[in-house]
Amino acid sequence: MLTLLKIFRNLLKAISSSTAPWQIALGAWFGVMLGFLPIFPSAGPSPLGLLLLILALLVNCHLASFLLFLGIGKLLSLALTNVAVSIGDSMTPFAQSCADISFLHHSHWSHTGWLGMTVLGIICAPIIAIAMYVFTLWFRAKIQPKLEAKRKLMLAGKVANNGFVFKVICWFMGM
Amino acid sequence: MTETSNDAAADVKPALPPAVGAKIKKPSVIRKSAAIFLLVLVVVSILLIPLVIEPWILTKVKSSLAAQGLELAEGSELSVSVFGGAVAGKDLKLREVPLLDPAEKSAPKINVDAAPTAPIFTATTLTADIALMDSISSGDVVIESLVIEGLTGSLRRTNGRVPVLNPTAEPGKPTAWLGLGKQLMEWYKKYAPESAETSEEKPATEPGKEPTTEPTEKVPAKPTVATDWPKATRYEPQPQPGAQWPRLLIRHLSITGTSMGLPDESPFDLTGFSVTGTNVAMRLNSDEVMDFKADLTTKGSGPMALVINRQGGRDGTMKLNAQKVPIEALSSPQISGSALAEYGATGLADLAIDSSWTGWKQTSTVTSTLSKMTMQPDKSASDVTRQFASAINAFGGKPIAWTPKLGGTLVQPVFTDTGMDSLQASVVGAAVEQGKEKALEEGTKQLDKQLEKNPQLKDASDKAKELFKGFGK
Repeated sequence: MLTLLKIFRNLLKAISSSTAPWQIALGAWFGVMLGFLPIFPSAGPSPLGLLLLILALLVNCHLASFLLFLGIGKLLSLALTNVAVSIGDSMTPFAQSCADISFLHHSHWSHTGWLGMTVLGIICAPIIAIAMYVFTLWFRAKIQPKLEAKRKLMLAGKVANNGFVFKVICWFMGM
Repeated sequence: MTETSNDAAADVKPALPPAVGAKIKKPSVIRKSAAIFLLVLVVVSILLIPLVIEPWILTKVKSSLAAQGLELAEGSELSVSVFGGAVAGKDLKLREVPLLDPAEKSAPKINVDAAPTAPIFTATTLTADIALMDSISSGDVVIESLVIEGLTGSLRRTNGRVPVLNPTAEPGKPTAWLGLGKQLMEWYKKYAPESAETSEEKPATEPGKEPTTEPTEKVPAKPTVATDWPKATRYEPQPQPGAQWPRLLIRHLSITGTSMGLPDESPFDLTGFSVTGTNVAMRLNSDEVMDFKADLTTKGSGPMALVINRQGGRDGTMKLNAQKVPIEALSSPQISGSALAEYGATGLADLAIDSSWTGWKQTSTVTSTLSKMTMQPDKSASDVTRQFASAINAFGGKPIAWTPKLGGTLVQPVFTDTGMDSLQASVVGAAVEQGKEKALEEGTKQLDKQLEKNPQLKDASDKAKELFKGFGK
């Protein structure tokens, strides 16, 4: 829990820091994708999952976002197990044809459950990544200046309403 | 709380955007530290291969054997060298794992209380040199050299089961080798790549007409229950007709052994064998030439020699020489089907089979000398069979030459020449020979009688005997 809180704090710090919005968005995309995609299931390692994991490490995305959304994606995938199977079952011909393509077969696309999960990941990951990109820009343009201004006011006048909570928020966001 | 201390203010690290006009440093796309980390990881992984990968390969080999119900007995030494591309074994003893229910295939349970079974195969040494780079570049499993020495084994049926092969379809019944051979050839023909090397000659299209191509029926992936996810279905790829599959190519093969028992006790049990070969593979590339030679010593069929030569997967020759094959073993339904079984033949065959093929089309000549042959057809045999058997039996086991010729395909060989002409000629020859002997015997008897009555003719007897000896020449 503490680790999750730390990761969440790092994410908020990143939002208010000089980290580029695309890095946060890319971290979220990788995290959600790998949260839904299999990496090391019992049937054997997935080449696609491993490739994405290596790319996530290699590409300069925001690691805290990646780890946070990896956890969120994993929790979401567990909650959506039945939905994933339903999606996978509705794509039976595609799963069947994936069995004949070695890379996709070993990436478990011929498994209706994992195929459904992958589809959910492919749908969710860009939405969350774009949402994070937009949120970062909005936060930096609208919220951050206001917080900065209020903080400056607090430091100058040494007075503020509900200062402890505000201080905690600022600390949490790395400001 | 309405105040903040200077210390508290100092704790807070401002993460303000850069000042206006300051040069913003763009983040690089690649994380250099991660690239270095991955590089170090790869190097460490390579260094750890002898410690991790090689034991893992051995574990996989053992688990693969266990999946087949087999295990390496104590004292067997097997080692793998990834860098050296070699597998070495010493004093190998392969035995069956005692199972609670041998017929259970899906989840066999080991009978831990049972005593260890006797080894099925043993070998004093095994050395395999794997051509790693060729294997990686071609996608095949290429073994530069495979040498097995001191191989012994027994596939003898115990409790109605044949070890390793385990044809559970008909437990207890003799193994139908002819049927297995046909199945293997059918399978090979179905799944062999349809290339110029193996394809049958197709009739030429009529002038002015487009050549028609028949679409190959694709075998769909087979659904299986996903063990890790009970509600889901996993589709497993199936071998496709004409599709390329990774092949096992052994560039230099050498196996020597002292005994090999077959599932059913027969004169074909091996008491010694030596197998050598170059470029041994089921499927050959067009530029590859396979040579295969096997010298076998059998328990009751004498020595046998098999020589196979294949040129690029299209052309090939096979020669089999077997000098003392018991005809009753040869004509058993498991070996030759129903073609010879009804004659109930016994005797010895000096057999030479010379086959050659191009694509799937083959021609074969069987040169056989059948000696001491008698036939005892069963009650259900036809009149023709009985007549033929009577004719054969009349010659009292004189050597008979029979040279039939075969054509058709490797999958379905047919007699193009039954060899009846050669058989008849041989039979007539035997009849003449038999007639000569009878006449000689009768003439000698008559002469002896005359000599007893007229001793003065004794001097002329030698001349008369000479005369009978020349009878029929």
